[in-house]
Amino acid sequence: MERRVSIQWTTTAKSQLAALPLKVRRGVLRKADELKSCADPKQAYKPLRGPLQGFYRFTFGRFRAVHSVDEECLANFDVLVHVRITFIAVGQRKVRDRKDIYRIAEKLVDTGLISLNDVGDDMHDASHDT
Amino acid sequence: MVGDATIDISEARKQLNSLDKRLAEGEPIIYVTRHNKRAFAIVDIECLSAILDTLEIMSDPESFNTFQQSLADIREGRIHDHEDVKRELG
Repeated sequence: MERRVSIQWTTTAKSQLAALPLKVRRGVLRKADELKSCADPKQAYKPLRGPLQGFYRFTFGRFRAVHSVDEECLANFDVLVHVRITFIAVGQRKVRDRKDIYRIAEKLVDTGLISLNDVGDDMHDASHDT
Repeated sequence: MVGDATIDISEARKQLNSLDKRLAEGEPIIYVTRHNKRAFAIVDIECLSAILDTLEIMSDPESFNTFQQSLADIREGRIHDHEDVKRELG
């Protein structure tokens, strides 16, 4: 059984890539090349979470690319791994002020990354401390 | 949802050297308690990075719309081979 990796870009991700400076484009493309030589892209790259479960990411400097990985079993029992690059996040996360910590916490709850029970217990305890 | 391993702060101090092993073994978040209440958490850096990356896309309307548009590209077959993209943009 052989595994082959096919890499594709969505039109949207390609447009995002096209908007980047040449040096960055080449760096991102080189990183994408590494996906091809990877035996199992699902294991080699860190998965995103919550609503973006099923997507993975790779980075080049301060740029992050998001991709999906789907496996297709062929008639000869070979496996074709489809990697589709869907999004490039430009820039680095900014250092945010304290208020944003609460905004992020709300998002964590909204997206199911942490449960309301976790937060609720602590909030309940905190309300009794005051 | 991520894991909910907890450890008391005094125990965490004693086990500090082995906590990274616990993180590596599949507990991406370990909550540290003080007086039986969660005080802070020790988070695997890759896990934290994945959460922040997810949030960044989800919380920014423009990024989220772009991402949705990209998913529509996949559904509707608007995809390009990597080698062609390299030739054009590399």
